[in-house]
Amino acid sequence: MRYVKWTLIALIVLVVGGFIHYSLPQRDIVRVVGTNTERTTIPSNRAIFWSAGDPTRDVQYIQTVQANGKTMEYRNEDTGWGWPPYFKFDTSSLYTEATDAVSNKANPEWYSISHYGWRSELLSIFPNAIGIKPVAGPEDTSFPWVNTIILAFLGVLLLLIWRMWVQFRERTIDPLVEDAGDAWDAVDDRADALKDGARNKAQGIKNWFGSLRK
Amino acid sequence: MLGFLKFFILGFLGLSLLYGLLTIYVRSLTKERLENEWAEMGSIGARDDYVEQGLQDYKKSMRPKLLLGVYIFPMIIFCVVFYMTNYM
Repeated sequence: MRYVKWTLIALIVLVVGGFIHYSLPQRDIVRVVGTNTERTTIPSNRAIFWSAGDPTRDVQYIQTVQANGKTMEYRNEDTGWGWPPYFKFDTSSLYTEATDAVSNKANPEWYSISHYGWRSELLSIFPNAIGIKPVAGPEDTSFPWVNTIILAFLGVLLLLIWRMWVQFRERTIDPLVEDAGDAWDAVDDRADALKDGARNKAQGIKNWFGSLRK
Repeated sequence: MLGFLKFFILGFLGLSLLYGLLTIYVRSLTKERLENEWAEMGSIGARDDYVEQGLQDYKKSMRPKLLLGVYIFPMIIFCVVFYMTNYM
């Protein structure tokens, strides 16, 4: 039973943590090496990793290389009014900016690309680029303020829900339970009294019969 | 357009739920505080009258109106995110 409980808890943490990790913005310092538009067919079982739309459509991609030589590819799609709530409508402008940011190995220009989502070669899924801005060099990282604020806010929200529940239990449920307990006790007492009364009466009748026999 | 409506209707419903819960919660906290005050001070009249008067004062005060921030803050955050994503 303990294994079941911990497996369940681990599963919930994994799903919630994965969801948060997928949705929150991250920054990569990269050199943009190219952009292109490609007709892409999105399998229906992976549609959640893409923006809403036709399963077969033209998708814009941004190809980049990081300072350590690893490659990273982004898709460039509107999120619109959907989830996650970035309200991204400037896909075309971002495409222009990214194309303008292309540099080669000899004269690298470093850019910080903010994005959300995961890259998986196996699943053919790509993080969605949100913004791009030039930075001084590959070491130019910044503290993730936005994520800190969002996570702190989520923490406060959880705390609030917990406090609300405690307050509700203390002041609404517990008194009700006590009332019910009191009512039950009263019923119990009355039943006892009735029983006693009946016994007394029975005893009285018995006594009366007894007195007749004498 | 449909996405826009869906976003705002769902957002409004979610925030209304939060607003309703917060209203009940803060009222409950206020009532508890008043009851404790009455118990500490002692001999200031009937308990129910004191609590009822306090709740009326609370209702008239600025504090329950602050809960409308539940609608206003997300609106501001929405505007900031919208601006940051599309115009920065």
